[in-house]
Amino acid sequence: MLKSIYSYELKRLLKQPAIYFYFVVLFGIALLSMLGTGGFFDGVPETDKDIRLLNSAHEINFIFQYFNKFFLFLLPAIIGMVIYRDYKNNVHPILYSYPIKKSDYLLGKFLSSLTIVFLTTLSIGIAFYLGEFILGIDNPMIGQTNYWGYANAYFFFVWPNMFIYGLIIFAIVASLRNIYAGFISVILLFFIQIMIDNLFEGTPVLFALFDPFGQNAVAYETRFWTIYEQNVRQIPVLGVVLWNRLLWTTLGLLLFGLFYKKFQLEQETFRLLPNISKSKSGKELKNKSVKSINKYAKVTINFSFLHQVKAMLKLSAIDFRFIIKNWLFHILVLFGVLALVFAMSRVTNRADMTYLPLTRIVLSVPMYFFSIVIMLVTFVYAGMLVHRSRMAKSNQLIDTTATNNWVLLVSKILALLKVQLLLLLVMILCGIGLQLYNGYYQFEIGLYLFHLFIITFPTLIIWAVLSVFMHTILPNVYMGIFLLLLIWISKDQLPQIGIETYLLRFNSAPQLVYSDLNGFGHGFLANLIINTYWLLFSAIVILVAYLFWERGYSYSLKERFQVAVQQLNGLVSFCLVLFLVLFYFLGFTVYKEENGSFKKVGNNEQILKDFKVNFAKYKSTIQPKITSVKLNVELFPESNSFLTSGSYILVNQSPERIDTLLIKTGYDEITDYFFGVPSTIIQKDDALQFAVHVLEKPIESGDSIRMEFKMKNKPNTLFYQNSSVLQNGTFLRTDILPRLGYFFDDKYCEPTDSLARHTNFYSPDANLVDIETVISTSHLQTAIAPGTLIKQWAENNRNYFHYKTENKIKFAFAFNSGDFSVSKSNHKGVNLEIYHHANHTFNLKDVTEGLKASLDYNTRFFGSYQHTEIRTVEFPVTEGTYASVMGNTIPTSEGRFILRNVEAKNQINLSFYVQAHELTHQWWGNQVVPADALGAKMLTESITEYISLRIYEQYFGQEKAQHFLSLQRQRYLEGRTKDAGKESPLYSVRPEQEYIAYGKGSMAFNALQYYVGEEKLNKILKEFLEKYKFRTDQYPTSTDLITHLKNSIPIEFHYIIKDMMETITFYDNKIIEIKELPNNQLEIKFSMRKMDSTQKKELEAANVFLTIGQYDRDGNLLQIEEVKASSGENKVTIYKKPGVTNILLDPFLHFIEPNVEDNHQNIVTKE
Amino acid sequence: MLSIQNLTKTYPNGVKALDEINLEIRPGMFGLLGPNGAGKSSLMRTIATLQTPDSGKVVFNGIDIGNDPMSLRKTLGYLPQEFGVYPKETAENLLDYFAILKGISSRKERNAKVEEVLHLTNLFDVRKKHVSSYSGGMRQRFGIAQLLLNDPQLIIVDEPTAGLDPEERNRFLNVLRGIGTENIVLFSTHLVEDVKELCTDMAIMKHGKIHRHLTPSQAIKELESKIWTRLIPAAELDHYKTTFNYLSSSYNEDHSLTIRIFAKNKPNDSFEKAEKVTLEDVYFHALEITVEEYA
Repeated sequence: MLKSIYSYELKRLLKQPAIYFYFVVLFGIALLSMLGTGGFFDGVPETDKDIRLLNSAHEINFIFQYFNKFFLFLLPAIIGMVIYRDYKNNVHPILYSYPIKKSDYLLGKFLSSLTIVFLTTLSIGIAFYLGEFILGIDNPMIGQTNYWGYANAYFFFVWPNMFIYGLIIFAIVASLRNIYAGFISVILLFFIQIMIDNLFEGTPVLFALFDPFGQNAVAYETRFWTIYEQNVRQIPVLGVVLWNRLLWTTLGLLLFGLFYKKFQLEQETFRLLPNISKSKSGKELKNKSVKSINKYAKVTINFSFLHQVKAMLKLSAIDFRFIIKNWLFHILVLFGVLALVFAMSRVTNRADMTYLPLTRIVLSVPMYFFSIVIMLVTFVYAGMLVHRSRMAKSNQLIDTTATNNWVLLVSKILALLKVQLLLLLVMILCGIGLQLYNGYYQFEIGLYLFHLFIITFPTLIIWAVLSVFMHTILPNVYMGIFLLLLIWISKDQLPQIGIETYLLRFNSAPQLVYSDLNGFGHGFLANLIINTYWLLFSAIVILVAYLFWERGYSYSLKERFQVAVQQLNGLVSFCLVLFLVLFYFLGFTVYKEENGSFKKVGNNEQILKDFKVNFAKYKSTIQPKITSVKLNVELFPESNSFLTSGSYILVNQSPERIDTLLIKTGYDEITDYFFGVPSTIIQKDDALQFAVHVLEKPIESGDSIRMEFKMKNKPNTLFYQNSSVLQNGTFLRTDILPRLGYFFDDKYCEPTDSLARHTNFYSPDANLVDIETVISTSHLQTAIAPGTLIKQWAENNRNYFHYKTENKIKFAFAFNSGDFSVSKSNHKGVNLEIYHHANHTFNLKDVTEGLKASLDYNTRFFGSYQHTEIRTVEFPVTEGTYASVMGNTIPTSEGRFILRNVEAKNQINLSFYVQAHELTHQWWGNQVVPADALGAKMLTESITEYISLRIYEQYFGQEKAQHFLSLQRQRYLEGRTKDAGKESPLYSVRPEQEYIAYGKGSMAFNALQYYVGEEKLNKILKEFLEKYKFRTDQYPTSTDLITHLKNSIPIEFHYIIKDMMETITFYDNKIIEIKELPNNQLEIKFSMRKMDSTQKKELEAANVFLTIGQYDRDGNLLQIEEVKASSGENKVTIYKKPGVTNILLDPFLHFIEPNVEDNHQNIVTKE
Repeated sequence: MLSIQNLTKTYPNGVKALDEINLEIRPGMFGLLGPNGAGKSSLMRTIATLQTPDSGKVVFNGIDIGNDPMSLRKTLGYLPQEFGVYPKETAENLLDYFAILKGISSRKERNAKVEEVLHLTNLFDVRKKHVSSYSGGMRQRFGIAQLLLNDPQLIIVDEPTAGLDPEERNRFLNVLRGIGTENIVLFSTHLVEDVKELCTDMAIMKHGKIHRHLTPSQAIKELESKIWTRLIPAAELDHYKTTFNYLSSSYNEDHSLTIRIFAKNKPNDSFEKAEKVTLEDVYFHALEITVEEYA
């Protein structure tokens, strides 16, 4: 019997066109995305890094996991439908009366549909296999075909997932006799994944274990894999992955088992849970005689337009009520709210910091999650509303009324819009609730309303219309939902296959980022226009849906078209033409704007290549140095523009005469300039704003000339922001100024190269300079430039400020303007000024304390501060999330002013930390300026991170500092996996390798500090600083520092310098055994391995210091011991502290060890 | 008056559901009799504007429904052969919903009308119950209730008594009877009984064609003295079927059969003239003879 049910269902399924549709669509998407990534359409990008192979086991697994989302929606559409079909067609009463065994019936249905699902998922594998051949083995992104990779992905992930969730969805659909429940269950699964992510945030191993799809189990196992490893290694299936799979399979089987036990082959439905809802049964009282007509109600039947509108509103109210009373809707919304809450706690609680629950943060990721719910509700309920009458078989009753099609159509769209609005309202209430709960009382109702109703709602309208349209033209509700999901998920992938124009990317307006300082900024207009464009599209879609609205019975496509043509009366045609014309014109406008601005960013690589060919000869042309800068900066925030004029003094500091000047001006500015001596341009490149001038009279060695210049910004275009001048919170940098020299050499000197010592890392065209600025802005704003404020006045309804530096500074300037509140204080004779948004007062204390603590520590160990003031200036989050130091200002992102540091238990007080770090750069970066060579950041960032850690520890205690250090370790280990095999040792760190300079650098100096001693190490560093302080004749390199360290530090610690600074070395320490000895001693047997950068080749370690910590039950350190260890097995004996429960090797992270999990062992204390 | 002219419809699967149908229907109860698959539902759906014919037209009181279905729908009451309602909705709510669709925009009028039709169909006591939980007969009466909402002039009821038990069927026919005779009630059934009890005019349909169109009394009169009965053993039925113009038979308690045949004159002495000509005789007689014989 099982066999015949199985083969009957299989044959029936194979006859369904929808199955082939799913297969072809998935196949197409997979093939396109593979070819797109493989450069089939636009060529493989050139890079000297390791290339991620497209067909490695890791990548196959990754992509298949991505497609897993699509596959899951096949489950209700195929497996759910197989069982639902019997209820829908009402054949179950007949069928269940046959002598069919329950097991045969259920298994036959389940297995046949599961087979079809398995076959459909093969589409991806086939597409990939085919993709490999099309791209060919010559393609650098294609490796040897990895059959085991495919098999692994199918047998451990795709198919088990289909099996487990197929079982669950089958059981759900069969017990509820409701196909939508199947779809919603899939959505809930995604939410469960998100929630598990949040629940186990701190313990990734649990997250990996409980991830419903096994995706994060793989991510966990491969988290430290470098690209090379990703290319060659197979996905490990033992360990967490296996447990994950076993766990979910068991759970799926258990659920199905429960269902199987309860399932009865009966006409009436049964319940997995006890019945709670009361059904109003219509038992009629007998013996009632037929009443004669006792009255005759007169009714007016009116189908005038006005009354039709009234009817439409009433119908939409009924549909609205239907949706919001539906229990599936309640579940979806509940999960939406949960997702919102979880997402909120997730985005405000990062691994390293905690944000305040600002409205703009609620409206970012959390709203995105909630809007997923809104979208799904729209997709599913649009289908329900459109097909509801047909499914309930009351369509004939409705279709024979004289109500117009548009009334039916619009009432459904309107009902959906009402549901969306309701959900947006729920979202606002939840947002405010979360803010209240977190004790945050700055409610920005206006921002909520504007963001949700002006920016978000139009996109939801567009989706609602598209959903109703899709369900109107497609006969199959499941196919409709599937297609909508497909459009929704794949629209964001369009740029990947080369479609970048907004004209073709459905409902994808440019993303807006809100800043408390600058609002929605420049992108708002573009967002509005693109939304309008798609709204017009929706209007057209509504009209088409109206024409094709199904009324009565059509027996062929031809008939439907005939009906549609019949509907096309004068008014409809007029509207259709009108909207088409508007749509076209708006589209044309967007097209023109896009082509105006896209050209500029496109072809960048080619322009650079051409430039290098034409201008390489000037690479080593000696240039004069800028020694003095005078500027007059006029900022016009209202019009997002500025005017600047100014002059440089250029001094020939070389022994030779100079007659050729290389000038590069700002990309986004229009610059005019001339020199004190007449000159002619002999060669130039307009795209890169580069020109080569020959002076009529050369500059003799030691002589100087003036260069005068004037510039203004290019105007902003719709999609491209040329000007950095904002309505509020302008932050201009040095890149607006003209520069001297060949700026396009991307090769760095080795730190050992003596030539590098003559140029500093930051500006080849200037050593240290004086700068004097008159800066003006609107009367509402304060403007800040480098140096001390010497005069301030108002004129022509504008504010003017005159700044001048007292000592020379690096050629790195910040010009800020905004409507700021200022918090002022004085610490040890230095003025601390914090310019911030009036509402951003949350972190002022931390910011101030960070500056003070840094000032204290650095003046104590490294000498005096060089300026009379420190200005921390807030800039909008749209300009970056970093902080920096430029002259005496510390421009700091808005993101550092909205942190919740007080309650951050496991997080870093970043407001404090960032200021401490940036101020430390005044010594390490500004007093000592590194040479323009590899490893420069070791002198600035590594030392600064080490010092910041010390300041942090002094202020917050050892435990917090230790936590911070563990984040640095993670930063390094994770950073190197993404660096594609190009990792450098610390001493030759490249500028972009922050994970090395910051992460590894702080670990290295911290380890040295532990063994050498803080005072001693700082003294050694100070000697180095003194030697190079403000020197412009000799800039130091990392090798200078290493030589200096080696000369001053005892030789027994030199291995630390070698392992952590000069080479890439890894250790693996492991406790093997702990034996309790009779006289209250512990014998600890442990192993030590030392490895090279590949972690394959063993190195010899000898006389290496290792600390061993004894901890009690609560994680308190009782005792720390230093021992000497060597490669291989080591044995030490230590005295056991009372209460010890845990022994930990290297608790302070003095080694770079990818695996620290085996560093600890519990000991059972015999009482 | 409803006038049907040369109505033809062939489905994509080749079935010719309507074959050159011509029919004039005057106010009153009109019964459309025919076996399953005769095309009754197709005809009714076409008149109810639910599907378009391949050719021919339907005109109701001057409205050509092919050109202007909306005008017909305003005065149409339609009860399809099979219909469902939204689950978990009470009769009252559903009727209100249909009243909106039928263009009654005043809430007061809607409430009054809903109450009226509930009384008319004897559903007032169960108006707060879910229609999805109604019994078959109640459901059919609900169907009548909804079609009455807009005071229709043309009422189309497709096989409403199918599947009802005798008591329910009686109640239902009573309701129909109460609707009044100033409108056209087009009523399809395969039960001769229904027509006998209700209709003032009737047509018999088979294979997409109208075989006869006449009033029941006319029909009975036509067959007066032409129906003969006889008691036979059950085993001989086939013989009589082939030899005579056989109409119907019924078993007696002793398992013998009483058969009815049509013949202009008494076929032989073993037959007796039927006491009374029934509508059933008309029906079976009409189904037996071919269209050509009428011509």
